[in-house]
Amino acid sequence: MSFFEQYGTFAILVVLGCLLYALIMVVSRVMRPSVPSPQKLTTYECGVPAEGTGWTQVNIRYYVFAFLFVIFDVEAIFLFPWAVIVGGLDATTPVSPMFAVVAMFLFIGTLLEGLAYAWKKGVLRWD
Amino acid sequence: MFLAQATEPLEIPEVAWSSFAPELALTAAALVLLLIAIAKGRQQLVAVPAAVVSLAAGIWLVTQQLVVPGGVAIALGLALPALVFAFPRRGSLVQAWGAGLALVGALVLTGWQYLTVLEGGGTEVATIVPQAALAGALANDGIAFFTRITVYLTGLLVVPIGYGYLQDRRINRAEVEPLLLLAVVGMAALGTANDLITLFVALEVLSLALYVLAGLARRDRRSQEASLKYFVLGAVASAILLYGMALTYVASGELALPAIGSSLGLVTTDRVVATLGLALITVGLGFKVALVPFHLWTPDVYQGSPTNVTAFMAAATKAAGFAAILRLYLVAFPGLQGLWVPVLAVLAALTMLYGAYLALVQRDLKRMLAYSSITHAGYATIGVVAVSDAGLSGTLWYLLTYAVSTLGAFACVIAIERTRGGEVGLLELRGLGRTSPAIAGILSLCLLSLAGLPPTAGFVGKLVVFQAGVQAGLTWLVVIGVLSSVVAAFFYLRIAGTMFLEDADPALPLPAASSGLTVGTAVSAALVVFLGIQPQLFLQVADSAAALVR
Repeated sequence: MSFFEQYGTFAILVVLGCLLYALIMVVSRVMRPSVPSPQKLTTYECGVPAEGTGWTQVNIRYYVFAFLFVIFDVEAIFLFPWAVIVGGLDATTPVSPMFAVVAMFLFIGTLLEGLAYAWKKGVLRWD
Repeated sequence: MFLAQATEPLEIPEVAWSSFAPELALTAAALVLLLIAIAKGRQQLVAVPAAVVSLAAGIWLVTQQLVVPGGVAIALGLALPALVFAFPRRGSLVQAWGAGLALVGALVLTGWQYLTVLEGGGTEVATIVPQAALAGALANDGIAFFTRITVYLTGLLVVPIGYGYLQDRRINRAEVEPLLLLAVVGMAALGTANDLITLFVALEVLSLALYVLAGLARRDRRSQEASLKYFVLGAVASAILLYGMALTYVASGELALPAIGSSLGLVTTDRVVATLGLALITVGLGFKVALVPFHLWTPDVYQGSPTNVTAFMAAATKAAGFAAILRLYLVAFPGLQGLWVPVLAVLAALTMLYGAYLALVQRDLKRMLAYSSITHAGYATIGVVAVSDAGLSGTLWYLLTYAVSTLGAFACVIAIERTRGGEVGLLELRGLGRTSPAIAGILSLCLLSLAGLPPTAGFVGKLVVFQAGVQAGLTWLVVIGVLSSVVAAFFYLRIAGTMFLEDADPALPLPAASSGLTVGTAVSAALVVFLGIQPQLFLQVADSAAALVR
């Protein structure tokens, strides 16, 4: 099937969907009785009345925690391939095992510094 | 199965550490300064171990016959505990001096790279031998070298200029200098990046640091606005750029810029997709350097950010952004030259005219300088669309002259802002030439340089770029450039006139300079004059910068 044939099917589906939607709306508009009342304009016609505003703020600390989590999550992604490779290193490979270990610890140390900074700034305290 | 694969010979790229030695030194300095920032009363606990590590690394480097990098490491290692000892309880001084010394070290390393790594042949005029490093991810060539000089010099000047200003506004947070260093590293890496991934990462490093720096004055609503606008619009621009890179990759199947360039020259490559990618990349990079349809963030961000950050953004970001533009268009997209040259030429024309026109009607000095920076992006683009060695070196040279001029101008704005607080309007400059002639004189000098009058650096910059434009047959663009320069000269000279010809308002407090500000301003003013009278030295370097990794 060619490129346009595939998308042609999809286009027909989209057009049919739009037509169906229009048809249903028109039919219901023609057939239903119209009895407006203020009650019908409230947010929830049933259940408890809505209170307060829709504007609530999520605690900013969630954001910082998520951030720190993502940093170390990504670090783990880098650690896995490194761990697979570092076992196969010896004196004959272009990179010595010592070099690989030092390099990875430099990387982890850099990330840890970020954590230490956040800690010192009191980000990890909840209250 | 995985373990079996691991025993196969590994393909590990050759790491040429010398190819990014300055960035390495600056990153290490930023990390150490950040540690010192959080080690409140026990700074020696951080400084001494860092110094020991740095000294050991330095001595090891010297034994490996790498005397200059070793010397830099030893000097920085010795300087750190000395600074902490010399300025107890003055954390911000330690940070400022540390960052300044690290930038000096980076400049020394850049010079060392130029002399030992890049230079080839023993002729009078050094020619740069371009080379790719890190499996082609980095290109050490003229663009990278010159961008390093511009960016490090800007950083070095911004640190003393901003020091007193940050203290006055009580925003001298300890994170400023590490962030500044990281931004500088990102910019230098942007000039060096030779594949799409490195390019994007470098761009993000510099952008993220700048977003934070723009919002440094947290209590100031304008600074908040600047930071938020820059962040949201910058994120969109980055996304567009990334999409463009993805499409380019789809079309060419390559990530390295030279490989993209050779792939786009083939008949088999899908030109439609490549063109789409090129268009999106143009939008993304046009945003960073503020070409006209993508400039809308510039005035608000420049006006709202703390003034020293504005100076840094105007001078250094532009240099880095144009380095990326030059490399991308000249190395990766020469195959689509018939498409992007007219488009960029029209954008340059629009940028020059629109920026000059809007700068005319500004009343606020910072906002006016923001529009003037938009205009200057247009001039620099002339060198890009010339598609010649002369145009390339002209753009690089123009950005250096623009950087020193705009730094000097913003430094004078800082001096005026310090005592008057808030924004500096044109009216407040009345009679400044009589009450404080030094600041008014330097401001006029820098504005004349921005206008492009001899014997300042800006004149030589414009001359070189316009010459390249005429040689490339873009006479109409150069005519528009000259016209817009005339318009721009009017508003630059109007400021000088306001300062020297009108009477002073005695109610206004006099501007005051701190010692750091004095030094920074004097050096920028001296550079403006020096580069204007003796441009040969750097022009030669810029001319030899046209050697690219292709």
